[in-house]
Amino acid sequence: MLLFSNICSANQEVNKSDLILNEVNQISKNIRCLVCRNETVESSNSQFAIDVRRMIKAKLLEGKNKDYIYKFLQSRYGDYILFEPPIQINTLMLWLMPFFCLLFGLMFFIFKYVKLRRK
Amino acid sequence: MIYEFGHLLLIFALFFSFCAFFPFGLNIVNFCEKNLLIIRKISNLNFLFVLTSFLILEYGFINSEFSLNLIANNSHTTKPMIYKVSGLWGNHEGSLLLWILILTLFTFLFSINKNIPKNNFFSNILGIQNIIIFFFLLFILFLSNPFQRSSNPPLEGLGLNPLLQDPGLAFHPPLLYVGYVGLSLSFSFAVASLITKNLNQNWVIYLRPWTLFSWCFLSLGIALGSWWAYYELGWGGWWFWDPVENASLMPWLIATALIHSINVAEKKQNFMNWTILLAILGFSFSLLGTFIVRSGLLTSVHAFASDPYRGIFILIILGLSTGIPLLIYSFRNTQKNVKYFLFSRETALLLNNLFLVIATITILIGTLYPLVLELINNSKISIGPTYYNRTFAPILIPFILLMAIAPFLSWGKSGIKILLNKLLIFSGLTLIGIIIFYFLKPSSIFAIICGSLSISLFISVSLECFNKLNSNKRNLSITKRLKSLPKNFFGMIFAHLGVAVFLAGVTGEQFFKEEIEKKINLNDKFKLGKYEILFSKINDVNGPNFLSKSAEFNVYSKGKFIKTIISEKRFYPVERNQTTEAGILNSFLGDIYIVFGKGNLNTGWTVRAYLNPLVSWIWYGVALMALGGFISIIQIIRKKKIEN
Repeated sequence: MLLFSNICSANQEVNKSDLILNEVNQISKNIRCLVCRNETVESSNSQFAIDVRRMIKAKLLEGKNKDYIYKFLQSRYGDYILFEPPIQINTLMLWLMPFFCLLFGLMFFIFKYVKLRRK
Repeated sequence: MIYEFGHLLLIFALFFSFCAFFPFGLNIVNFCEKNLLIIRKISNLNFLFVLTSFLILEYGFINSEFSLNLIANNSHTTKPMIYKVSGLWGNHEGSLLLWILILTLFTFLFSINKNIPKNNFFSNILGIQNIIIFFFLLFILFLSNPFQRSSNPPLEGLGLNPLLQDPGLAFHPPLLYVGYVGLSLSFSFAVASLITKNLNQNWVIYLRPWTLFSWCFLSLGIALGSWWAYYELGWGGWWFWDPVENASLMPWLIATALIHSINVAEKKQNFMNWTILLAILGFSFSLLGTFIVRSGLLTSVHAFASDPYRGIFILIILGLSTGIPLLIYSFRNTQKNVKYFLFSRETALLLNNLFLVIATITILIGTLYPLVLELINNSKISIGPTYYNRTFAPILIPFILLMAIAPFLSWGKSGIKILLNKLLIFSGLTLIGIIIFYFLKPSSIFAIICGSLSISLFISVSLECFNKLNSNKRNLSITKRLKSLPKNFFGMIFAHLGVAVFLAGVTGEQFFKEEIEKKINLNDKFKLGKYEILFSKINDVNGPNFLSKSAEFNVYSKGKFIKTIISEKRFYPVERNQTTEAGILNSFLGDIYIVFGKGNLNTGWTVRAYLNPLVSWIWYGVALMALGGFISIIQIIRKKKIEN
């Protein structure tokens, strides 16, 4: 029985550390390795990337969540470190323009047909 | 001495392309056969000059002539021959020479073409090609001369970036450049038509095969680049939304729109203005791509040397070649109002163009926004895949649905009843397909959407084939019925099937992927999907110009041995650089992809493994698209032969 429970807990521990490793990977996919060229912290093997991954792991073990980690990194290194630009004043146009274009295009299309119909 | 000759030939080519301006100008005012003959002679001669110059530089690379700065900086005597040869275009100056070579090649091929009538329109196209050649020769001679000698040549070269030392380098840039540069001809067609005020559809017939040709090569070039990134970078992905990838995707999207709008222009005398605009934009985006790669404004895995003057020069070319034609364009608006109906092939193709252009603009925004923002208020942001995934999906979903439905619509006006009938069968079958797909347990709503789009396209293509074969001449045999089908049908079917296969690949890779990262030691086992993988061996291997640690992994499925995967970590002593060579077990239904990381015998090694279902379908899909393009070209050529 004792043996069994031992195996169980060992298993659980492995699972837990695997889960955290997985989460670290997921989070670091969205973080730029600042010393590399257009590479994510997840794919990079630079010292910077290793440090950031270690930091994420530590924060996760402290019980902090993904958003907190992103905020933390952003305040420390600036917006540049996040691959997913946060929605804020200087990125508002970035997020809105494609949708305006789509809207504008569809309006152009409808307008054209209305015009043709009238003729 | 021979290299000075190569240099001289480029100067000659510059001089001759300048000389071509005069007969070209005279021909605009008053067309004369003699002037045209001069332009054609110059075009042919320039090709010969640039080709010879290119071969001389290649000779230098093969013989490791380190007195040339370019070769000393980018080559090494121990490099395998294939990388000595392809190393020519693994750098800024050489790749620019390749670019010009292909530009003159296209001009030469066009100049000796027998099918196109030799009138002032033809003369204008060749004239404009020569202007482009002139500017690029100016650029190479004054700002990036490959034949520059050094006063004290080194004994050994600096070598080539190890990431580029791969067979991919031999094929990816030339294919891509053929695509980029081929669009220059579409551009010249459009500008020539603006100059001659020849806005009827006659010239579109000649434009089509050239555009298709460059589109096919662009597709293959991009796909090959993506495949190369997949196996070489060791990041497990196949598309990174890197600025340089975007730079090649933008002209591709525009060229795709152009092919479709030419289709309408050829059949219905409609969309002429639109076609001209797209043809101009296609080449502008090619130039923009070159500008992005060459200027070093945006950092990426592709960036070679960065020199601000080079960037400015290309920006000037870009401004001139886009600005002037667009200016003429705005004055030459002769829109013919041809009537068309809502439920028609024309409408579908108009929407297709609209979506493709919006997609291009979205990428353009994503690529240039960080740059503009940095200029305005000095703040830096990064734009990664999430941005593109979110902005692309709303465009892609209606676009693919439209693509599935469009073949059911007919030119002019579709019968509503027949259309409804077809749509009903189509949606029924698609629904069944989606339900079957649901049993594969897709992980998220996006997986369902992406998979459903692929399924709907598959069904649309097969229904279309079935309808076409079933509709007329039932008494004939299958082969005869196949022969009686409209000529551009097969091209379209293959290309659309390609998109379906591509989307299936994307669905598999994006949503059914499994990945793990583990620290393991020799003889440890780990599980990946239904496979068990054993880390069995580690060796030191010496390559021709690298030292490698290679790890062997045995793959088992249900206890049965399947194959050994070898994953390497290479060190290139000359370049002092390390690369990871991912070990890949490729199969039709998916890849096992293993990257071997840091570690030693005591602590074990970090190993990252991916299971990528259907990933190779992504490249098969693009290959099918290109195949569709080639089939269309062959059919156009055949048709012309029959007509002659």
